[in-house]
Amino acid sequence: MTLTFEQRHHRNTTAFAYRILLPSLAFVLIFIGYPLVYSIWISFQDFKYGVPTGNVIWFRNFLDILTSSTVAPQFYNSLLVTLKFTVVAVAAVVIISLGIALIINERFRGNDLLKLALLLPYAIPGPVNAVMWNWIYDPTFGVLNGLLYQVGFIKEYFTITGNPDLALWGIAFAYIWKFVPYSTFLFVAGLSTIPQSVYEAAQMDCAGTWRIFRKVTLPLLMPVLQMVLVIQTIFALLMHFGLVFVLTRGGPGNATSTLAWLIYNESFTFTQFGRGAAMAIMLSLIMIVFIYLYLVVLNPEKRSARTQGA
Amino acid sequence: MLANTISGRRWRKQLLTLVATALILIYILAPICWAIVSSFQKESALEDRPPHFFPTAEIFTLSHYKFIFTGQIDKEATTMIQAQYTMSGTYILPGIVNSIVIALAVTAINLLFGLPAGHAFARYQFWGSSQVFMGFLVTRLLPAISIVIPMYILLQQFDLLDTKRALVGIYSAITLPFTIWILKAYFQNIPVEYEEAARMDGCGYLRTMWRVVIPLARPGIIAAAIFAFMAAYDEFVFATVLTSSLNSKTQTVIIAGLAQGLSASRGLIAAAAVVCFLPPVLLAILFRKQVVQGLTTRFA
Amino acid sequence: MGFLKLEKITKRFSGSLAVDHLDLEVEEGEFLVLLGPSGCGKTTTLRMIAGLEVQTEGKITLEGKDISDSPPERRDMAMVFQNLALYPHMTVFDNIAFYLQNIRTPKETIEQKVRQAARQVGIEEFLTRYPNQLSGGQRQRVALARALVRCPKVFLLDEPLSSLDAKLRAGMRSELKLLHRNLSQSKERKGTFIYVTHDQVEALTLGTRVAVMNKGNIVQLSTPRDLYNKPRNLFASTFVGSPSMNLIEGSLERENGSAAFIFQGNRIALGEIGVAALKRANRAQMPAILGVRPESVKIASPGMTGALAAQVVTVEPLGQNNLINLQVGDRMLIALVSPDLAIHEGENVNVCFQPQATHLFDPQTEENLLG
Repeated sequence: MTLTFEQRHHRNTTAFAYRILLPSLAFVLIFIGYPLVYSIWISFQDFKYGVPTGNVIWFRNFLDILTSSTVAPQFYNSLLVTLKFTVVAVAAVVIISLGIALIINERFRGNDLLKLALLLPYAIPGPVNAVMWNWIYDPTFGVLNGLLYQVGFIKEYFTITGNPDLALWGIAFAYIWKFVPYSTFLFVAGLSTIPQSVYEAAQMDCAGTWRIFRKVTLPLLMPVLQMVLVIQTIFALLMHFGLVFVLTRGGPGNATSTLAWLIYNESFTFTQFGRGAAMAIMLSLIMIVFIYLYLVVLNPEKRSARTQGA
Repeated sequence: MLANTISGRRWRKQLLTLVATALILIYILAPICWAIVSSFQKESALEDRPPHFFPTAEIFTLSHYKFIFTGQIDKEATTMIQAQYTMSGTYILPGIVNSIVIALAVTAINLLFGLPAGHAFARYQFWGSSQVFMGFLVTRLLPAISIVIPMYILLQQFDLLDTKRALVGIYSAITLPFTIWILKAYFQNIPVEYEEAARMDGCGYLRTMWRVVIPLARPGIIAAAIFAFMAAYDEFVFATVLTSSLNSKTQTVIIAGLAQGLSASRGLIAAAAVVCFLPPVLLAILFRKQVVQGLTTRFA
Repeated sequence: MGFLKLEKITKRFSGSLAVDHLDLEVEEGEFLVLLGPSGCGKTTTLRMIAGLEVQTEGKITLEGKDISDSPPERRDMAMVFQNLALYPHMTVFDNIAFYLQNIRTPKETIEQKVRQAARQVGIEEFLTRYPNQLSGGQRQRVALARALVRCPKVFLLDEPLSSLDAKLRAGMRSELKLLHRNLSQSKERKGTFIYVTHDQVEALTLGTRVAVMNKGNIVQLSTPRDLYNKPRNLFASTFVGSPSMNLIEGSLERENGSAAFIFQGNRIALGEIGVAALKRANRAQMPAILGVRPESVKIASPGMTGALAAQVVTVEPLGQNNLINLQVGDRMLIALVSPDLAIHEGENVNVCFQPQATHLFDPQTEENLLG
């Protein structure tokens, strides 16, 4: 079949585009694609002392994780801990950042300072953040204890990271602090697309502040809100790892043993790579639901195209 | 009474905004301030109850920073503190240097490969374009923890554990999709006519990129570079698993390890935290416009 | 042999046809205007000539050489874009010099040529500024200078004046015309212009030839005068001219040696024109559409034979003349008349057209019955 001139040109463009994409594709395929596939193979294997025994046990690792008397309780505990953490962290991040964004949106003089300050938690590396909060929470000399004692709120210094009922929330608080800015910037950007005239019209219609928020701001902000919810969920499932690592190492007991921590611990403390990989695959499957939501249902690409078109 | 006049309402609203702003600023800044204040206090002062909120002259010291940067310990320091310092403190600066070296390499790779890739996605219509792009987006969101295990085993096989090279490769792979994504969005906002004009003016691909595309996309490129740098500088999961010595340990691993050791000096940890967060924080502040713009690309 | 030749050029965009087997020959030194409504394929045609768009089918030759496969940077054509596309990060000087720098011209030559081009369009004093420090008209000139400095084989202009306000546009129009006249008389390389616009005034004033485009093809290619006076079909007749030509549906009939146009019981004697049209169609009677430009609609003195009875609906003073909306039967006609003529709304008048000023079209083919 002979190609038309245009088809030949299109074919040349495709060849050229892939030549440009080749290095990026290579990086992603070698360092993400291949390991990802390889991890499935690992999850089918049995490991002892960090070395594969040579037995391919297929789905045995998965079965153990879900049903055995030793691993399953840990796994379910981690699921629950992860769920609790994610729900609380995401809800808090969304509410706090929306609140801050609404204040920034008031366009007064202080909001540049506020925006500048927000960049700090965003830029601070996760483990550094963990170390900072570790020192704040310190049960013997920490500033949090010191402050609460000074104002008479507590009678004795207490531990947060060592208390099974508080440890997870201590982690959550530090996590929220670091992840509020990102959502805030998204909300500020979303709010700035709502024209001032809409608010003015609502005011003329005698709507109060709360009603304006409920009936005007919130509906118009819905696309951004949905996106923030999904992104924050994807983050919360994973980005707490540094905090758990530094503050509690999954403890006390397994009160803060999230899935990410469990996978790490199973693989690199107990060198059960097969089981760790199986768990990681299960976590990935959970994540894929949210990634799907993000990419297909909310589709940031199409959305940006639409706003550009407008 | 006041609330029912326009000026009264405005006054009340301003007051409320002001109070809220102050509270938010305290919430955001207090933890950072406490790290900074602590880093300038003598070890003994940090073990006082109640804590000192301001470093007064008698508790003020620069010795933590001095040790991090020069390795010198104050003569009057107790043997206890000397031991605390030397046990793990000597790793801080090399860790930061490792982090910066790795992050710079990753940034360079991102710009070298991600920039033309983002441009290709924005400008060319080619077979499989949207599918490949989607593939990139998916990898950007996949959990690191799900590839860290196979990566560990693979690097072991290739004898690449504890090398900077391995980390640079992995971090490049993690950051490239995001770089491509935000650059694509940025290029799409630049009218294509500039590039067409350059073609008409006799520029081939490389010259068009160098003389027209890159200068026009500079804010987007800066944002992409900063994100790549910060992501590589911040990374912890891979670093903690794949490194074992100062050969490749990054600051995230060093500082996390520092906090684990019961013996570490509190002042030293605080100072280390400050030194570690300075590079990304300074970058973010210096290029705040580009960073915020980049973060919110999809809504701009 | 044409200087620039488009042969059976077709462009499809994901199924929809933008340009459909278009043939076009451009002579060296001419100012060809592609005129048409938005979506008619004129810009696509220009972009294919530039090489910015690749044709689906067909061939483009320049000076006898097939350039279909050469990229835009190898075609030696300059383009002025609709949004001008001045490089915002370069000074005016560098904007103009960019091409010369790209082909590695010696510094002194660049300096001299840029100054000359800048002088030609009168922006010499702005050379060190950046585009965003210039006014719309000045930017326009920079864009022109950028093309001028190259002495390209072909100048391509894509609605270059559309970003200017009406007053500036008129000024730039005359300057462009002057510029082309000077370039077309130059000894070395005659300036060949291809100019895309949807503005018929620009087309008629600037073009040495005008190609009216519709639905991806050229419906008429002729001098501006012929385009106005001898529209080849209904589309060209209505698209060119403002207000648009009056069209009346009726039938053309032979009447003992002469011919007349009949509609709604009215009869308009057409004389030789009607006879010629009928002879050409080889029929004694046929349906037809009569076209008359508003300025050819005359208000006749009462009782004149062959005049139509009409009622004045509105009178719109336009300054140099008055626009009259007339009702003839249940048809509306537009007439442009001198403001000196005292006509009032509601008044009954007689109108007539001179046979030479009328056009006849076939309702089926929409072609001019006189070719």
